Amino acid sequence: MVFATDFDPIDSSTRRQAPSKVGARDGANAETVSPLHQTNRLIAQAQAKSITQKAAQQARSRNMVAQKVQSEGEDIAIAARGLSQPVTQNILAPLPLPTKPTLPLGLQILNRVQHGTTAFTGLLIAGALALYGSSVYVDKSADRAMAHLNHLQGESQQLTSANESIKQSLAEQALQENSGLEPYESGDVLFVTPEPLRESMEPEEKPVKRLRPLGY
Amino acid sequence: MAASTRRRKPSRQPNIPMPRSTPEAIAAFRRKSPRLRLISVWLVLIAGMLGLTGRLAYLQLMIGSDLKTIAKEQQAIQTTPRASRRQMIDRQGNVVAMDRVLYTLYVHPMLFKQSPEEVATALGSVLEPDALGGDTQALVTLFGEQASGIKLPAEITEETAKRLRELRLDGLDLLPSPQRIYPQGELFAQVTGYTDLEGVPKEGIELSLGSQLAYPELSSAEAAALQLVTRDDQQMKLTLDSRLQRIAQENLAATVAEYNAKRGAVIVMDSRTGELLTLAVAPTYDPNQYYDAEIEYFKNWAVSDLYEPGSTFKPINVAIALETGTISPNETIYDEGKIQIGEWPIQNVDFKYVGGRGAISVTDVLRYSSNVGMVHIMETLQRSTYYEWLEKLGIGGKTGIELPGEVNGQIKARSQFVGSAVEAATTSFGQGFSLTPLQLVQLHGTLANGGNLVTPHVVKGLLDEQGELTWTPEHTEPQRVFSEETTRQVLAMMEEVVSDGTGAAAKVDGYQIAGKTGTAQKATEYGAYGNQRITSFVSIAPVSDPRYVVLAVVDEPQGENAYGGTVAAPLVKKMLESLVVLEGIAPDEPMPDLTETKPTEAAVEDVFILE
Repeated sequence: MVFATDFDPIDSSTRRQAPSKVGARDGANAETVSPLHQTNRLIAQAQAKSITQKAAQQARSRNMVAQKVQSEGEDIAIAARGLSQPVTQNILAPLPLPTKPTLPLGLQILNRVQHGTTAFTGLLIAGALALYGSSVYVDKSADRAMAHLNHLQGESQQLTSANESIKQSLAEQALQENSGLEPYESGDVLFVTPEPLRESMEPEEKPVKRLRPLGY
Repeated sequence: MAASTRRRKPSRQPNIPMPRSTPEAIAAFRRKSPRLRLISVWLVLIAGMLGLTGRLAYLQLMIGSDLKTIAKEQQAIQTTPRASRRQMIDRQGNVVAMDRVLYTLYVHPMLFKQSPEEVATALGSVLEPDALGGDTQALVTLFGEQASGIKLPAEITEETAKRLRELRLDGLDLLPSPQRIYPQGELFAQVTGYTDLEGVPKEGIELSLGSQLAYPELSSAEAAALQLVTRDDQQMKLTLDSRLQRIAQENLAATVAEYNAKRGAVIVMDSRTGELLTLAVAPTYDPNQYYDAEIEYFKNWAVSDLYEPGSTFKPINVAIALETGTISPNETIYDEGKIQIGEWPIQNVDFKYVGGRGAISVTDVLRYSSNVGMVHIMETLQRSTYYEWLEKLGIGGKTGIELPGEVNGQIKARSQFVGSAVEAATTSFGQGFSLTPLQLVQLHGTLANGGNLVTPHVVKGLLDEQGELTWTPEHTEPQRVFSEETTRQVLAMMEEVVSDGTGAAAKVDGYQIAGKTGTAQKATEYGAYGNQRITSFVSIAPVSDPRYVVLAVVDEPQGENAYGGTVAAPLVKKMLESLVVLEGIAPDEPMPDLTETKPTEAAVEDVFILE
């Protein structure tokens, strides 16, 4: 049995064989070609024919294998077995179309679970990264805000104390004589009693006095 | 594909001897092969786990406590030695007590990058020489004495600390700590009290309402924020008006100085709520420098010392008699000028000059402050009823103000009071029992507000940033003791005292003022009455719409002419003049010669600034 892989196309190519053919055609004595050579050539031709056929056959069955491999790995073994079977029967019998093998229910569930968990893991990782990032960011920004708040509070406290000490020093100055500030006296406040509401007066209709002539 | 001349790579499959023999052999091979791998993986895992467990046990059991202390040192922020406290503000929102961050400067010469001379010069450029404890040379010597942890005496403010940091010197350590300051100085000292240098509250509201003033304890997580001054915006709001308080404090101090008196107090209360607008006590101290003050100044004697109210108690007695119906307002009383009760002679103050006044009205009894007349009025009551009334008014008890150190009043035991006529007689003109000046204000508050006994207080509550009260001190409900009619009648009598009587010095132009003078002999430490007296004047204004009670008490004024009407009444007048302006009390009658008392520009400016 000769496998396609063992077949050397250079050896059996027509170009390689051409000089011997030319020699046979051109040679004056065709008889000089030994009968052994002739038989050899015939055998080689027959072999080459069957080889090309088989090569085509095998290429077909390989395609089939490839299809099956595509569907499920489990079928490879079957395909391989199919390969090793005698080819001659296969040529005539129609090839069965690859059917999608039905997996057992448990495996199907596991498959689904795997897909689900993969997606879930992806989400978890993304979430964890986001959470970590945000925790760092929040911490930093909170720190910054707190420092700012502290600063502002310090300033507000300084302002308050400055404000109060100014008030105090003003009050102390007011105590001094000739400060221009005098203590309250009962007459210091003016109480204004609101007038009772006047009756609303209707605007009088004044007769419009026309100036004549209005213009020149 | 097949045309490739390259040598095919050797198959990647390991050279495992393929099972070519019997199915049993194949099964045996399959069983054998993963077991080895499983066991080795298991061993690796177990070894890892054992290693981790061992490490954990080592960390937890062997060096756990050491690690814990190290972690604590790293995580815990040193709590400030002094806890900060909430601000106190007055009625208008002026800050009365606040915390300020001060820094203490520690120097570590071992960390210096520059020479000690350079550091000393740089410090000298920022800090005053006395804050450094000497000049630059002294500082360099100081740096030579210790390698680290030299504390400089300076109290460094935030601003100076900023400049120190800008020097960018190594080996300087600024340690912040809050310090309580009282911007108004001694003005509110008797109310706020003070906190000592360690931050411990000692007197006043600082002491009695310490839990409200202190910020809640921080959890360790919050401590990381480390806010030294304010942790929330809550402030303690007082009922005091700093403008009135200042006027009271200044005038009181002047009066005490003028009469060389021992001490004095001025209290202004809004009788409708019991809020004190003024609680001035002299002499007082500056809480910012409490360590320089005399210890006896620390206590607020207006709430912690008792005195015999004297004649200022007479209107209360009249109200009791009117309320019980034993006398009517139009009754006439016979004033002999001097009477004998048992072995005790009782006479009017002016008996020497005036003698007996004869039949006078109840109003005149108050107007001339007749002791004998008061004895006759109170004789109309049964002594047990009289005693019950005194108890009902809370004499012998406390007012319930928030200030610490308030004392119970003193009153004779019931049996003694009921059994002896002289007890009721002396009580009728305000002697023989004692109360605090504040309690007298509370009692007169009943006359001003239509008969309700309110709790005088100085704290409004805790104010949040929205201006809403989140906490208010609890006070007992106002208790009705007199009817409105009684109080109106007594006020009308008291008005006569001011308009034409012993209290004329308190007259305020354009306003009807009710008042009563009081001059009581002081009991000496041996129990007998001595030469010293305590003068007071209590006033209710305005009579047309009674609201404010003003009391001035001056203890032991010196001089011949030191009476309630001469020492305390002018003080009350000054208070009333300011009070009517600040509170916007409309005059009862048109102002006389308004053009002369027209407010000058200076006065207007005064109002503006002090507000």
